[in-house]
Amino acid sequence: MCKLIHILSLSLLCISTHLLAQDFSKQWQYIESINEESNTEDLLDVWEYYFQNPINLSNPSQLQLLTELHLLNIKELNLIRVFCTNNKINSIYQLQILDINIASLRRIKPFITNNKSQNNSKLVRKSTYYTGAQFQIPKREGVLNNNYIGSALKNHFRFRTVITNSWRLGFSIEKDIGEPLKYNGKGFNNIAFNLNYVGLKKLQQLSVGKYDISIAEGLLFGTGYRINSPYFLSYNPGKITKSSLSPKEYKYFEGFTAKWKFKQLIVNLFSSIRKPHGTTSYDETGLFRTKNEILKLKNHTEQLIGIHLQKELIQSRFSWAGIIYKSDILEKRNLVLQSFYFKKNYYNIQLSSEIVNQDLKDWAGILKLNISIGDNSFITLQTRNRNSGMLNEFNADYSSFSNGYEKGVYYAFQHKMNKNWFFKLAFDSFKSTQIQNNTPHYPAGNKMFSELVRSTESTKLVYQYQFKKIIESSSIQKHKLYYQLQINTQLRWTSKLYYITESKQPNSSLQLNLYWTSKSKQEKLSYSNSYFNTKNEAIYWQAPHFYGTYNARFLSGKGNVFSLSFQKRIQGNFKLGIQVIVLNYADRKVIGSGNETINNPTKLDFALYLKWKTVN
Amino acid sequence: MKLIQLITIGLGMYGYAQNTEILLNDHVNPSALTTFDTNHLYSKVSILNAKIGLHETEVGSVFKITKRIFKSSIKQYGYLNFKESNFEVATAQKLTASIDLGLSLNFHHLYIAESDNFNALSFNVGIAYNKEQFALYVLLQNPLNASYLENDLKSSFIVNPVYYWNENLKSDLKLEQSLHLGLNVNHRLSYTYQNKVSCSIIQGIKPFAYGFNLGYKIKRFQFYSQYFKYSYTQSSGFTIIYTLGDV
Repeated sequence: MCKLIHILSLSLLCISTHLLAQDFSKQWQYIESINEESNTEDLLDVWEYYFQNPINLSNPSQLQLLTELHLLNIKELNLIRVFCTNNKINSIYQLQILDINIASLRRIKPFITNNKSQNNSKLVRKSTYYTGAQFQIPKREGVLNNNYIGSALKNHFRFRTVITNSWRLGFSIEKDIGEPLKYNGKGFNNIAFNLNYVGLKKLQQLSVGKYDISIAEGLLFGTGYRINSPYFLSYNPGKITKSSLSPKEYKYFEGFTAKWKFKQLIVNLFSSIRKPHGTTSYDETGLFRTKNEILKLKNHTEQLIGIHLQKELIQSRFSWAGIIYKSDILEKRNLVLQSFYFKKNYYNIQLSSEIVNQDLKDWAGILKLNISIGDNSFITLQTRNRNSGMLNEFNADYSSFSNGYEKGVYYAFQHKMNKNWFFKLAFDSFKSTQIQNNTPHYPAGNKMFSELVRSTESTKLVYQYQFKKIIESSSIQKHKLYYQLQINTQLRWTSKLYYITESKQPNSSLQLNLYWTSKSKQEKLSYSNSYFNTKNEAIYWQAPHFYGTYNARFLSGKGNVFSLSFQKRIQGNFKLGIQVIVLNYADRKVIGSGNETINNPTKLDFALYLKWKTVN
Repeated sequence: MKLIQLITIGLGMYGYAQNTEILLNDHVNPSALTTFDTNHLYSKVSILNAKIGLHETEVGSVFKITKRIFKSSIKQYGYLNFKESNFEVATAQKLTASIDLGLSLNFHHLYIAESDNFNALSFNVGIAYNKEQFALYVLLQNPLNASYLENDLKSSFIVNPVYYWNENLKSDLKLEQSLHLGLNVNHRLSYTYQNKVSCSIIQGIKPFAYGFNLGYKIKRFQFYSQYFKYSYTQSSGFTIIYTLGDV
């Protein structure tokens, strides 16, 4: 089947006439320096979407979409928004006059346009193709003993194309190690498809296939990619529904969506019918390799239909959403869900609130006050509450504490001291509203987060400190030191040190990443190594980004991990990547348990991909 | 004014060009060998417990063969009934004006009275980046976790930034993540007066430890005296470095 995918990929390639290889190196470099614990595959899906559907700076209603790229800070976003709203944009290069770092503009350049009449302009047919494979050595017990139904390979194929100026098509199929490509009676493995229409008249968007819903502050639905969870300063989704080819196997929808714009009123209509995974609750493992695991596969039905009305005024926004939702996994009856949202701007103050309810019985709410002080400071104050009976499967995360059933107060302050220094301080107090079996039955606690950053043209130094305390439990303290050095135009160095204490037990890791790019920019080499020693807290490690691979993992115990990846453009058309990750434990003789057991303290993960983008 | 400052820093860096102080470290990053221009002989002795005769000794040399710098040493740790010896050969290569790569090979031998002897082979890889007042060293020590039997040789990853405050004063922070022992952080502040007298204060942040080092240079000889206080013991030691060729 893998061969079939390769043949299919190559035949599709023949359609194209001119080839362009676009990578997101600058963007990944930025993300790696500001973020951790992010699913890079989902973010890649967002960028590829906006690469194909650039944000039109001449259209004020699209400026909000810049937040979804996660490539600008709040100040930069506001500057661009204000400038583009008040000025006629003839060229994206007009942004250069703003007080924004040129590196920031370079990061967003592939995703923006100023084309006013997109539908009437000459057709630019952009297509992207990707195919990748991964395997492990030694093999897992499940593979060796034939307990897994499928092969020991992980395969992924993804394809996006612009059919006409108005129509886009996307397709993706993925199978994990041990999974078959097709299940008997249950169809293909993780498959995603979408067909989108983009219009400039009243009907602005029409799509069929896999998509995300992000409404207001995300209390009800917030399945779109969020980078700054759990510590966020602002959550303003640009699109209510956005089609997705992400390989995620939960927290998504499948069906029809449409968007109309009538002057100040925007109407979104969406419906979804899908077969989610799980038996008594939603499955988030995404692994269906054995007969027992397959019992959870596409076992129930979930249906949803909804309407979202939004009125956009100069300084304010109001929205209401009404949704009928039914899931056989949860309550086997229709739930009527509503969301009310308003936002008001008054000079440098912004007040927003979302209140949601379920059958007019269960409620959740959030109230947010954001204040900008000059160009360099920002304060946010938020209070939230949620009943335990409220639907909790698709909401955005509001703190790193909980499962979402909580009430709490969050306040944060960030300040740019000068050109080089920046700090952030955040406090979160929370209490669960859902009863727990163990004491305390309603866990409560607080968390503090602080970050001090020094950045220059060639270096970046970040120190983060987190403190978390849940009453009647031991506290957790986390220290993170991050250093990035741009040695020259070809070589970049990053190091990370984690030191976490829980119950006075130390857990630590030290990591080095090296990124090399050839002078012709045709070859890229990334190296990473991390030594870890943990007692009671897992430590996060993320290798340099490699297309199609979720390169991050939580490591526990004693050991080290090395990764080496090589990526090369072949004749400027194709891009080829090979990666190997070696994980070695010093405190055990086998890795994993059950079917996932590897009878060796060392395991090697290999990944390779072929990717190409075409423009004609 | 800035030009003068740059020249003084440059001269200061030249003073450090043959940074023999690195020979005092427990783990010499092989990439730092590129800073050596002339040949040296050295000997180190540390007494960890005089009562049972627990000591650490090292004899070694830094020498040049056809423009390439090598370091070889024999190190022994232990007492009468337990002796762990290590023979090391190291060399370095300049990759660019500011980046150096070093490699060392180690042969380990373990002697335990009335028991079998054990041998093991390991290697270390080091990278150094030098720029004006700042240097960054990385050392992968025994990355394959080679062992006599199992997990009994040190395997660690060390990141070591060095900052030169001026021509006399430098800070040296060592972040060591050991596979078996976890994180070890220490800081060394070193002061040199007229390239003759030097002193260092070493502060171990985790685990807690502290130490002093005093050095004096007379013609071709350098003498260093060291004292360390660990949470479980203390040690005192002495190092002599002899320079062959131009001083």
